[in-house]
Amino acid sequence: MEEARNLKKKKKISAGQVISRIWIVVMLTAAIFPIYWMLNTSLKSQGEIYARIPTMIPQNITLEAYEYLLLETNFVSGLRNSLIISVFVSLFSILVAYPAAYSIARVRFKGRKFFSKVVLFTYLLPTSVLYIPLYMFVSSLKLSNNILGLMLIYPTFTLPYVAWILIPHIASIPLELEEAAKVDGCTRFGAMYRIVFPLALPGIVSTTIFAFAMCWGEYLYALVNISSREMQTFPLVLSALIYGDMPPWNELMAGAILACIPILIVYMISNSALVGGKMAGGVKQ
Amino acid sequence: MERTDRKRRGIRAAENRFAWTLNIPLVLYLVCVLMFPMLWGIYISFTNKTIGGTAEFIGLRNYTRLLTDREYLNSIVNTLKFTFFAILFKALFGTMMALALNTEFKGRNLVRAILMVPWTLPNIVAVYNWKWIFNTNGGVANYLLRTLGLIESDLIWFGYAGLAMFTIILTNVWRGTPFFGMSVLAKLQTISSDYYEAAQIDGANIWHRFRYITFPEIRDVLLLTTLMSTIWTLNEFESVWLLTGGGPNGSTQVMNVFSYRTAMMQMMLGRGIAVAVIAIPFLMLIISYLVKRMLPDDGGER
Repeated sequence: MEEARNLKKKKKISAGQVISRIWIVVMLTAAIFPIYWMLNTSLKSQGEIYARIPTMIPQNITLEAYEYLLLETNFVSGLRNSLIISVFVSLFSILVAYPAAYSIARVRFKGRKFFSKVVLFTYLLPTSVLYIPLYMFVSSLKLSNNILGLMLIYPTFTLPYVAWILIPHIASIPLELEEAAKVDGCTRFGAMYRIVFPLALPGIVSTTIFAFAMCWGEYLYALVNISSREMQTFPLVLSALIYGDMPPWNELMAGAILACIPILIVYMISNSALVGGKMAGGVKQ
Repeated sequence: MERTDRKRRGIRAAENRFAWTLNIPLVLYLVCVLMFPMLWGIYISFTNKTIGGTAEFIGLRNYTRLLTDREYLNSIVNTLKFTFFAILFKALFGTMMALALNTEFKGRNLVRAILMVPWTLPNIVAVYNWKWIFNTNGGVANYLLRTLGLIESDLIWFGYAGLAMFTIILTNVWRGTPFFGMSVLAKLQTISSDYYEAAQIDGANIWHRFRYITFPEIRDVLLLTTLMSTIWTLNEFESVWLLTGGGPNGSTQVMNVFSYRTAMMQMMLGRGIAVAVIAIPFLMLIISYLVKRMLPDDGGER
C-alpha cells in the first residue's frame, strides 16, 4: 500500500525517501505487532491461546486472565513491592546524586575531574559484574529475602546514572541567574536548591523517571536475593508463572500489560511538553 | 571562569570544602555498597567459598579450573557470537531508523514515540513476549511463517542451537535498536541541510551523500553508542536465562548464564565471581576508552 502510494508520487519523492518510508513501515510493524500480540493474548481464554491456528482477534474477549492474576496469585503484592522499591530508590538517587552532579557541573574544585570519572565509570559498569558480591553483602547484613536489601543495592546502578545525566542539564542553566541570586544575598546552598533545582526540574523529572524504570523491571538482583512469595517483585512473580509444558500465557501477558502501564504513563509524562522529549543519553539496558 | 582568575586561597579552599560536602553522600554510598563488596568479591574469587560454607584461600585454582573448563570457554565463544550479531544489527537498524526519522513527514513525532516503545518496556516483558511468540505450542511465529509458505512444519525455536541463538539475538536487537536510533538521530539533527543541498547541486547521489556527509558526522556517536551497548550486551543475563536458559545443550549459554549456574545453582560463589573478574580487564579497556572520549578536557581543576 505504502509503496504503491509512493510510486504514484514518484516525481516529487526521491528514491531515498521511498526506501525510508518503507523502512518506517517495517519498523512500526516490528515495534507494534509484538505489543499487540501481548494484548491480544491477555484477552483470550486458556483454551483459545493454544488453538492450532492463532486468532488474530480474540474470538471471545475475556478478562479471566486478569481476574485470575489479580485475585489468585501474588501479582498485586509483587507490583506493590516493585513500586515501593522503585519510588524509594529513584527519590533517594535524586537526593544524593543532585548535589554531586551540581558540584561537578558548577564548582571548580580539586578532584572535580576525578569525581566525574568515578561517576561515568560506575555508570558504565555492568550490574552482572556485581551481583555475586552484592548477594554476599546483602546476606551478611541479614537483609537477604527482604525488599530492604534490594532498596539498599539498587542505587549502585541508579545513582551513577542519575548523576551522569544530570551534569549536562545543570551545566546548561545560565550561570548569571545564580550569580544574581548570590548578589542578592542567597547562599550557595540556597542558589543550588532554590534557583538551579527548579530550572533543572525538567531534566530531573525525566532522569528520575528513568531511574524508576531501571528499578521497576530489575530481575537479576531480585532473583538472587529474594526467595519468599511475600517479598517477590513483579518480575519474579511473572517468571514463577512459567511451569510445565502449557504455561498460562494469557496470564503472563496480562501481567506484562499491567506492568507496562506505570512505565508507559511515566514515559508519556517525560515525553510531554514539560520535558521536551530529552531522551538521548540512555539507560542501562 | 572569572572566579579562577582571582585565585584567592580562601575562596578556593571554601570552594573545595563546599564541593566535597556535596559529594560526601554519594562517595560514602559508593565506597560502602559498591567498592567494598567488589573488593571483597575479588578476594572471594581466590577462595573456595560456597553458599553457606566458609571461605578458604586456594590461590588461583578457581581461575586455572575455569581456563581449562570447556563449558566456560564455550560460554565465552557464545557471548562473543551473541554480542557481535546483536551489536551489528542494533547499529545497522538503529542508524537506518535515525536516517528515516530525520526526513520530514506527517506524524513524525508520533512515529518516533512508537518506535521508542520497545526500549521503554521492562526487559522482562519484552523477553516473555518473544518467548511466547516463538513458543512451539500456540506461538504465532510458526503460524505466520507457515501462512507465508516459508516453512512447511513448525520449528522448535528453542530446541536447535542456531534457532535458539537467533531468538536471543532478535530479542536483544528488538529492544536495543531504539537506543542506537535516538543517539544517532540526535546527532543527525545537528547537521546543517546546506551540506546536502550543495551536494545535490554537485550531483551527489544518495550513497555519496551518506558516505561523505552523513557518515563522517555520525561516526563518533555511533562508535560511542556501540561501545556502551557492547558493555551491556556482553553482560546480558536475563533475556538469555529466561528465553533459553542457556540451552539447548549449552549452545546459548553466555558468560553470565554460566556464572549464574556456577554461583547460584552449583553454589560455588568463588568460582562464579572469578568469571566476572576475568571479564573485568576487558570491560575496563572499553570503559576507560569511553571515559576518555566522553569526558572532554575542559580545562577544569583536576
